[in-house]
Amino acid sequence: MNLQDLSDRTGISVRTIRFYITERLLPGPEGRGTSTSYGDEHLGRLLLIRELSSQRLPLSEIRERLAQVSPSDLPSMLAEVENRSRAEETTRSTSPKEYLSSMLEQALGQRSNPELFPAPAERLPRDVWRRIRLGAGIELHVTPEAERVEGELIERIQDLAKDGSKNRKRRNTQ
Amino acid sequence: MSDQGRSGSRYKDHEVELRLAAERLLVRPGKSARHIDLAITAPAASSGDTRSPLSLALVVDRSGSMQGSKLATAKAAAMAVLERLESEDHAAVVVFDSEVETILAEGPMTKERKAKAKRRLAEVEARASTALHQGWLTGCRAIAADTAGMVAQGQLSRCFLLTDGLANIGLDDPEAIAAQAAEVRANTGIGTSTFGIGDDYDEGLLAPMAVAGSGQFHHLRDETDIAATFSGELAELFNVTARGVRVELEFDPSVQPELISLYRSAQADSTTSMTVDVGDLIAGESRHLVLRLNVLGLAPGETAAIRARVVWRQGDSLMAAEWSEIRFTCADHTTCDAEPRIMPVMHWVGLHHAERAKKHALDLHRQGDGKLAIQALRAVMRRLREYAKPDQDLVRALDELGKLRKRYEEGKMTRSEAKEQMFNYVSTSRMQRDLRSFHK
Repeated sequence: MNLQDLSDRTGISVRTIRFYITERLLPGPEGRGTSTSYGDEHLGRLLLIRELSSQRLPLSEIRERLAQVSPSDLPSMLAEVENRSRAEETTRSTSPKEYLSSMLEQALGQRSNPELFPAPAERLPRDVWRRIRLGAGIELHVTPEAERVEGELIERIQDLAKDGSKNRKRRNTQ
Repeated sequence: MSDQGRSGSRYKDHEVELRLAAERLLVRPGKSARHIDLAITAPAASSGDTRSPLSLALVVDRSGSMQGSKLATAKAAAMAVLERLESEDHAAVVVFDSEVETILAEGPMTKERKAKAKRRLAEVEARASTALHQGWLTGCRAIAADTAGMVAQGQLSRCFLLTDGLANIGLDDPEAIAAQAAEVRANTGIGTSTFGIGDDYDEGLLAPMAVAGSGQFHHLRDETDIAATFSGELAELFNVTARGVRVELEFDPSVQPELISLYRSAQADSTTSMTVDVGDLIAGESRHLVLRLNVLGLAPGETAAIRARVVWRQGDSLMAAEWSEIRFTCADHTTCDAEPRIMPVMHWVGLHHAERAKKHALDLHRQGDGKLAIQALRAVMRRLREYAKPDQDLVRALDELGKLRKRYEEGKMTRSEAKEQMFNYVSTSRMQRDLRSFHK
């Protein structure tokens, strides 16, 4: 196939394919002059480059990965790429509601996994307040985070309240 | 403005206009950095136009910290928004604490459903923690189309997320949630706008979420700002003339672009093309995108180009303007030194760099690295001084950077100021209006 055929089959512009050849991501064409042609290896490698580019890998890393792929590995790698494309196609054919339902199911699944998301009490939410009764008509409100950071102060306030209460009772009995 | 270095698509009524302008057209041999400004202008609404129907999800935090006037005001503002919708518009209302509840299922906003929404909102009381991620996804799902392919044709869809606290149930990673907001926008057409109230919410989550979701981020100083921002954004949505605006860029391999302005970009073919999501534009609205281009490996006389076009949705149609191109030519150092900067371009370059530096300093400050925050501000101030003088806006930006640097040096940056800084960064860079004093 010629350069334009290669571009049509991969959806990658001719200019970009030339750039990949200059950057040694892709071998040069077979033959010379007007008889240059591109084979299955070019096609396979280009599809892999496209897949890896879509994962936003830098060119240096794409080059490194491609260097490890022999022509015999290309069919299996290509099959993997095609499977992924089919999966993407399926995603496109689902409705927005189905798409969001699956995101939500995943979120709920993660939420019920205690290793990923510990129970709220352990994670010290800042907006859940604990009420500590200090005396008749007196309350201290604290968040779990405040309890962790200012635990000593809170205990001192409670002790002070107890002392105040004892002193009051003592005064009343005298 | 001089026409040097400018290229624009032919303007027609009802078309989004894109104009490209470069700070300079000559580049040095080896490596040069050059900025370009892309000015995008939405078409004005003509008198015969009817507005697009709206699909709106209101997602309201009812965690314990919302108790009292905050929740009462949020409920009243939500109801005011629903009252302004017409029967062609659809809406859903979701409230969340540790649990998520859809109190009004998606449907047309008829008189009966408005009355039902009012009753259901009145019953909402503050409760426990903040399952923000699940609440937001539930709101988006409520208004999502249930037919495949509806993304392209569907209504203008937006989710308003209002919270005063931190996400503390379920997914809470800002980067992961922002990435999902972009995915939701791309795959379902639903944009996300975020409204943070007070000093305790996480602007590091809500701002990127709105940017990724092509919506707006609003910092509400207290509950009195809720009604104005809700109504303000609704009024803007009513006035949208170009939906899902994006800029497509193609460039030679010797040109490496970096987006300076605060928009989400994607590089599918990471070496020679890029797409920038601009979002929905209201009638006559202009936005500017600033890109820094590293132009590499050219010899004198050689050229390198970048071209761009704008793509958007109008009604049910996908529209695209013509491509515009800017071509840089490599010249020797003396010739490059003699080429003046185009000041109207430097205006946007300077403003967007200044806002980006503030955000960078804020991030460093949040990470506890105040010294680096000061250094980051100093560096951008030094560069800005080179060209700011004739431009009063840039002189003001420089002055603000100086004041900010002083705040960091004195160690006086409060949480409230940090939120205001984040809001300024998002709104200036994206040319979003401050709707806190919006009046109907």
